[in-house]
Amino acid sequence: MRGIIQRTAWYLLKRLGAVLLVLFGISSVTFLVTRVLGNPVYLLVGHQQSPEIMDNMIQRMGLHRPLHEQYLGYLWSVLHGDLGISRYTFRPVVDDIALRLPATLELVLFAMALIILVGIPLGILAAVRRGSWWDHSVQAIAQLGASVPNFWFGLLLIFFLFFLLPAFPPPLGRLDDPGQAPPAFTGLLLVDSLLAGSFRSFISALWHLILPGLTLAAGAAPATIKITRDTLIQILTSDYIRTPLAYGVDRRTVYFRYALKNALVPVTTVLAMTMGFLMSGTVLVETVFSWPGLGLYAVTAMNHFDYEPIIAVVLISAVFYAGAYLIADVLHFMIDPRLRVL
Amino acid sequence: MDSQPILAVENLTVELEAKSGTLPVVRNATLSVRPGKWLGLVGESGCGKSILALSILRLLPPAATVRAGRIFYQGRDLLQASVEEMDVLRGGSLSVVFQNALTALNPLFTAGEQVSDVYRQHHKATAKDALLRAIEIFASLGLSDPERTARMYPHQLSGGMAQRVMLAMALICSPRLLIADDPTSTLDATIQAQVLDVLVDQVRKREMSMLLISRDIRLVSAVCPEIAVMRAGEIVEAGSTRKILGSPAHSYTKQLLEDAELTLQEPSSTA
Amino acid sequence: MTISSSSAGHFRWQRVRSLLISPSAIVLAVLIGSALLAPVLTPYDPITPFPGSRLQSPSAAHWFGTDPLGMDVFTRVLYATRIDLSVAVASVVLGILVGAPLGALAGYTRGWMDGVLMRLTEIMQAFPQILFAMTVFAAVGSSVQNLVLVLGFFNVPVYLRMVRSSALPLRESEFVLAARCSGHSTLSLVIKHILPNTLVPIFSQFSLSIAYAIQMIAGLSFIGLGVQVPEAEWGSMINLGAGYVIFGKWWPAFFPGMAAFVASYALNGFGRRLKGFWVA
Repeated sequence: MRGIIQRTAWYLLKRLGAVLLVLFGISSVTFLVTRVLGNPVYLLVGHQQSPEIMDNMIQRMGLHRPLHEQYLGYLWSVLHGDLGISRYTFRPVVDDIALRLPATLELVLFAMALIILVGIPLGILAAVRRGSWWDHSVQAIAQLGASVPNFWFGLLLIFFLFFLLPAFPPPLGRLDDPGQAPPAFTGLLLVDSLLAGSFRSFISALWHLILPGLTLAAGAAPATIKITRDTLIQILTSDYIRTPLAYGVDRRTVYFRYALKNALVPVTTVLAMTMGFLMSGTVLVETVFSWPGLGLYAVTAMNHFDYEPIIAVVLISAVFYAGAYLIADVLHFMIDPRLRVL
Repeated sequence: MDSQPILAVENLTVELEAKSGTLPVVRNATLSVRPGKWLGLVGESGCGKSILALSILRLLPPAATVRAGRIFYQGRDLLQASVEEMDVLRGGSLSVVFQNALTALNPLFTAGEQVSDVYRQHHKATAKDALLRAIEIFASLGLSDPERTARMYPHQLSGGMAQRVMLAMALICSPRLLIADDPTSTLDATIQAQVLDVLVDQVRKREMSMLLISRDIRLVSAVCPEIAVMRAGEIVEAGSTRKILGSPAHSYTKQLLEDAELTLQEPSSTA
Repeated sequence: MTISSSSAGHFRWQRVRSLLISPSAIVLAVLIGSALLAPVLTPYDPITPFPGSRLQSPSAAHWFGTDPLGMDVFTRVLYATRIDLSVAVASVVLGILVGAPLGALAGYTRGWMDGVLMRLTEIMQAFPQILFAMTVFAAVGSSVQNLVLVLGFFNVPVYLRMVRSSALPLRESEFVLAARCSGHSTLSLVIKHILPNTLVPIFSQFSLSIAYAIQMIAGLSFIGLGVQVPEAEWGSMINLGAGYVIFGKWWPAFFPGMAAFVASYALNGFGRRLKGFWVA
């Protein structure tokens, strides 16, 4: 066990390298797409404008420079934290992102918590009670959920739980009264309100989180449930789980000592995937609930033909995505000895 | 009484659910093993011998159900036993060795951990003591450097080593009956004989009863003084090896013998 | 166990029949039928606004009510079926047409081309899809053609991988070796021999991909990309009606979403049945 800390650290470094490569790939592709595929100038000023205005815009946006120069310039600024200036907020994109990131983060973490607390246990239940009424119900719910348009579901929730039954607040933001927001330490309202000792803010923040959080979780849950169930069934019917049973080890020990550890590997992968679903789900959910996060930012930017914020949001999402997979990878490395052969 | 069989399967019928309906995979099977004696069960792939073994252990997959019959172990009908009672018997009194040790071992736990866990299930012992016992039995099974082996993970073991680890798990609690389901067929030819030797040696030393299951009639008849022939879920012939080899009564047995080019042979004490 | 060929054929036909009568197949037939017969089923025009009859709740005259622009929701839902289904099908077909041959090539040649294609699919599948679509649309503008192209692009890695994994084992099979010996070039080999044998899983996945595409289309249109008002499309209809839900006017947003849900569910169900169909 001695060498395991060092080996894990080394593995982490290697994986970080791979992650950076992927991020590099993603940023390259987004760059190519925006500069090569289309001409943003046309979109901004329309085709009918005079050539002088067009040239002016091209100069201003730096689109007249050769492609590789633009690319290097782009990489340079990204690495220096300069993601451009938003054309409609007139602020540096980095600032806009810093402002909005906590909102998205809180929403995503809340949805993730819901999935971990409800989704995964349901998958486990369906696997352990395979073929039973429980199993069929869980599968039916997952199949239903996979066909429901996520944003429409959010509207349904708003209608039933805000309009018909005034149980939840209107989808207009994160707090009842934004003026009463607690001092921002983390930007996560739930955390900040607790830190400031303000119970009212906490409740308000929580209440506003529930509907969008539920919507977001409901979008990603079906896939999570299905994969959890499938991998767990594979484990439970495997030869190596049959072995301790064959030697008299009781079910409880077999499930909690052996199957649990075996399940940890695929389940962490599932959670990393879920993180990915959640991050892309925020775009639609934030739009429905007017949630002031990155998703809404990207949508608004798009409607103004402002593509630099969109690229920035793509990069940030990719970072989170890759980060989640990285964590899962490292966990696998620590759990599964077969990965440590090389 | 000594003549009371330690294992007696009577008219066992097991059905398997498939998409197209239910198939009987074991039909009215009857066999018995007397204390200290060895019975070989031979038949081709798919004839139901593994299902028979799993039925005895009450480890059938969900799609399979016992439709009829009784399985007596030391006089008790196992099919009536509760899960807790079976847990006490399995590994402690009635043990099994599976065909493919490498897939039967959990890839995330060391060999030592898995074997000592079995020991601690049936005896009160600390982890350290149990591990020492595991290492002891590794040594007696011919594993060189048993301490190192105990710290290894299954993917680091060779086929022969893994099968010995399985054997260790099966024998560590000193059971009385061993069911060996095709224990050597996944191994290289050169290793097969070695592992079989170790297995037979242990069973003899511990004066255990054994049900040896295999597709290979040569192997079975060389090891066991009594054999049963199984085909399509039915026991078509059973009795002393010598007699069956000399004058097989059933056509299927004759076919098996012809295919294996087997001549009459004394069941030898070493394989 | 041998089954006589005639009873095997009979067996097959029975299963095809049960597939065609299944609930999901019936729903799909109804959907397609209503899309085709839309002009017959409703007297209203789907794209002319009637400001005088805005936001009327469902009634005998307007089964699904009217939307904020005064148009009959039922009519628009029906006409939207045409657009959503056809765009979805077109994008999936595009994905198959590009992805399948590439996958067969990759699976068969297994050289550097295979490596490159696999890396590319990894990157493609790592992208958060909606965000990527937004980036593309921000650069090239949104239109139906671009929508089909982008969604087709998303389908390429799926079918590429699927065909590739079917093609991998075929590499060593007898008939392929025989064809190679008789001097076929790699390309003709791939097209004539490998591809046809990989078609089965494609069929099963087809329905599921369309279901997913419908949701993507609705989602993208909802945020302002893809098909827009006044064309009838489920996602943009929901967008139009979204703001009125908090006031209790649920029907402009509800019915198009319901239609998208039903279509998606039926397609998913049908796709699952198709998968089970080939197994046994």
